[in-house]
Amino acid sequence: MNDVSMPSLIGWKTEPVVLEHTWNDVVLYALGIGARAEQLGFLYENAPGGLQVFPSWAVVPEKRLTRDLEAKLDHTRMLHGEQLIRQFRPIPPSGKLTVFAEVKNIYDKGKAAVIHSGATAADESGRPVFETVTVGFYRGGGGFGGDPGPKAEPLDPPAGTAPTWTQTETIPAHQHALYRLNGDHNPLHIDPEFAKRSGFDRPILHGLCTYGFATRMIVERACDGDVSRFREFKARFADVVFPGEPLTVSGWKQGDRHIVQASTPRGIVLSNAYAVVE
Amino acid sequence: MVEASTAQTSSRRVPKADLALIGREAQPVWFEYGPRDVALYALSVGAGARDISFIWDGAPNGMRVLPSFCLVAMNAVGPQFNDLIHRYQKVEAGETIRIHRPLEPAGRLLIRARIEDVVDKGSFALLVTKIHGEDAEGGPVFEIDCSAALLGSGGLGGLPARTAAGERRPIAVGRLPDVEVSETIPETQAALYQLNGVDDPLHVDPAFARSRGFSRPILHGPCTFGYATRVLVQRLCGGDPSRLREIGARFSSPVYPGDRLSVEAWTPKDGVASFQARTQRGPVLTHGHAVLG
Repeated sequence: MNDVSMPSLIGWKTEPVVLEHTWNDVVLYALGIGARAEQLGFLYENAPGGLQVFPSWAVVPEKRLTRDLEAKLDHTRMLHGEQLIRQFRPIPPSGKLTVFAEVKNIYDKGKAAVIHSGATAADESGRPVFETVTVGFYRGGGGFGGDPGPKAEPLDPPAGTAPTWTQTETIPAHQHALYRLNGDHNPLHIDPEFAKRSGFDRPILHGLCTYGFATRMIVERACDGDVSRFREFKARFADVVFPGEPLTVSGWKQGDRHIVQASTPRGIVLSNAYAVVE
Repeated sequence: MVEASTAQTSSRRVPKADLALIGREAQPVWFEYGPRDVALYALSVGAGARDISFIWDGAPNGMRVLPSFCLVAMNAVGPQFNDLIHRYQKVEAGETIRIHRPLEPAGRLLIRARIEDVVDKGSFALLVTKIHGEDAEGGPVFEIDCSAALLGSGGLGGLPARTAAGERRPIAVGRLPDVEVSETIPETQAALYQLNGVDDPLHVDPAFARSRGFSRPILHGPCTFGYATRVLVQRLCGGDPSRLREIGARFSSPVYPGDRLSVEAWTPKDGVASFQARTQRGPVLTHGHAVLG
């Protein structure tokens, strides 16, 4: 068992890395989060007006850069708790980004440690493009005398109010197999035996795939399909999703913020979620 | 796609096929690939979550590569011919693949291509290309006979319409198919198939598709062919792609994403199986044959 000390991870940071991507990568990602054939602007490199990139693509380079950090941790004790992305300008459909990853904070919750890590990207002119934050609950990692951190802001949809928008889509049965080609190779999302050992009947969908479906619906329903209006999306992973399940994502508009919730017929899967749009 | 689209050929004037194309060769190109490419290809021809050995390099019995994956390798030389034939209205018309050695989940293959023939078919011309894949030691891995129809470019004058070497006769089957598999092609399937290194707006750009006489983007003929290949491997080869030594078919009519595709196959006589595919509108793959080992 890997037993890295939490304080030793504080200050972990990668060198800035230049990552190049092509339209192939962002179209594969768009299909991986369920883009529909009529969303040509996300699927065709020569689409009128240019190819757009779903903002949650940011987690693909993030994952790539935090691989070394993940390798230091015992993944059986790690739970992906929350994800945040902030977009400063639309992600270019191809080209080079300079990206670095870092541990931003580690909070001590007694038994568990809560690790905030993420990536920051700039374009070829040095302008900021996006920032991501992954919140990981690391079981057995607490008790190192650290700061317990701020209490989470409760973000429930307003009681008794119908959502401003809601969209239900059935996740295709092979979606996890497609999504993993973006570089997310955890066997939990492909290997039936591994999934059984982890307590699931069958492979589960990547939490970040669900997050991507929700991001796409936010772009469609709260940004009128225009990614340049997207600013920020944060969500907590409340429960797993199985490929083949219907996913409902709803938004309650409150000023420039939409309270967001995602659910399957079994219950809520993304909670404490909000999106900021222009 | 020949029959259905000939009548729809847009009015844009296209030149007659140039017989000087015969004998043109591509610069050999190295094609390097890995499990991600193999999995993407399998998903793009309709492999599902249960077909785990086609989509996961960690599968218990190893990753299996569909024989038609060599059509992805062929795409590596495609751009070289595009310059020669961009003046024509090209649609894929058929393929025959011969596998000399089963494809590995990762590898590096040298791809050679040569235009073998230009056949006058009257309203269109058939461009016949031969593609070879070799390993690093020069050992043959696969070969492909690839036919493309140049719409409106036939009628070369003086040359009688003829049959290209190796063209198959229609299958004569007087009994119901032994295997019939029907699947709905997802609406996004052409966009996914395009990620196999295809660069043809006909399959994704609605305006371009309309300019070529189609109501909307059509599925790649080789994608339909890949669906049929997968069904034959699964249903006639017990899931073992190394048993499929040769497979060929003619693309007779376009398939649209969203169509219901039925693949029908007749178990082998003397090691040769017959197959065809159709949608709700009619036949789309004809003259299908497969040599099983």
